[in-house]
Amino acid sequence: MINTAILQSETLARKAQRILTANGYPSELVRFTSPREGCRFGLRIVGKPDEIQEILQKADIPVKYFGNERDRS
Amino acid sequence: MTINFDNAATTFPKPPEVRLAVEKALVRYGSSGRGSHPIAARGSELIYSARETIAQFFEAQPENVIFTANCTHALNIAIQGVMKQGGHMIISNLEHNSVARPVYALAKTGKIKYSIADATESDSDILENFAKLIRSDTKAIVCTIASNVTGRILPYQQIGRLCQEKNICFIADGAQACGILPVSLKTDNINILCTAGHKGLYGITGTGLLISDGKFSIPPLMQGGSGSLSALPEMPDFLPDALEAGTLNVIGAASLRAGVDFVRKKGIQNLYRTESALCEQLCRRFARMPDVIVYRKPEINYVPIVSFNIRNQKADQIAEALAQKGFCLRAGLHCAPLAHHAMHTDESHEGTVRFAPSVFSDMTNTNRLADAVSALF
Repeated sequence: MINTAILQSETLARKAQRILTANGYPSELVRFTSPREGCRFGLRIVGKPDEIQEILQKADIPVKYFGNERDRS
Repeated sequence: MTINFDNAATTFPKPPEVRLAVEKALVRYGSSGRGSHPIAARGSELIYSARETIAQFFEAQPENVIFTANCTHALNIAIQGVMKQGGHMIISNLEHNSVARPVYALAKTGKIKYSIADATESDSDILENFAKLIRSDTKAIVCTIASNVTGRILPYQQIGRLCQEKNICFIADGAQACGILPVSLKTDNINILCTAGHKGLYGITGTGLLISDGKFSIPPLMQGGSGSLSALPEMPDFLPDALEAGTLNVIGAASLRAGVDFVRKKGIQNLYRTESALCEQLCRRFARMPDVIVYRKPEINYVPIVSFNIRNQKADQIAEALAQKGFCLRAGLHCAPLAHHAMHTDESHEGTVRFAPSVFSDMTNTNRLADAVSALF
């Protein structure tokens, strides 16, 4: 399953990416533009959503949005 | 022959690794956080990698590493940010103008009150001097880790502990200490560390750092583009974006990452030992010259800096005479008039002459400098 995690900043997205990679979840960094907020950064990650969220939570990385690609579209 | 002993201002020369990093950055990286195309993405990756390297070095989190233009810039962000709502703050009498002037400017507007702690005595006296100035409305203590005039190392870890006990923000000026002392946010009780990138960290000029432990809120000094939440009229409230308005110095960050790696590989203890040995040798030579005054005390610890004068000569004249022989040393007040006033060197010699070696300095040239000084009287 492809998941999308939107993070507070590009810095946190990159931090999350490093941590997920170290835990066996490679990801792609993506930049979104929302008309209401402007630029946001996130990750596209393939894997089990529960496990991915648990890794991010343990690393104290706040996630603004987490869902699968289908939900998002 | 030109020998640089003014490394407390800026280390010169830079390590070959830093020069290569700058050269590579010029042809490889675009602006960071301003797009997802490959050139910008490489810039962003470089910036994050530099944050990681620096965070690891100072035991902090990458998102709390803020790139600034220099240490003065970092200190202005910290001081004006933490004191935005007013209150009382304490500084030492060894502070550089990068601390003294923003504090004075805030006080002049009536926004804050401040006190100056005497930091010229023993470590326990210094600690007591700070402690007795704390008031119910004291919000911050700003203190240099090491004096840029004499190199004296202040009891910063204990000052940090005192701040922690009283829930006061401890802002440490690490300009002369970072890269030469093992400064850590985790173990030294520092809430906000401000430092230059172009001194002991061997980055290029135009680089500085503010590193926060995240405990105290720092409202931004500047507003502008952050590459995030760009539809909103306000700056984002999270670090690092909140304090990094405008395009970052990607080339500077590349140099800083290479510089920190260089220091880490050399080993902080080795750098301290090697450069201190040069200072000790110079002091040994000066001890045999009755006309030379050295501003050091045996029971006190110093970073590798030696401030000196020659009796009946002005500091500028001494430095000028040494420059004519190829030795680059900085003379005068070193932008730290409070320190010179405390030492009475402002009146006696219009400052001091400062010897500040780097990893590229050596014993031969240190001895040559001592010979040159001995020929001046």
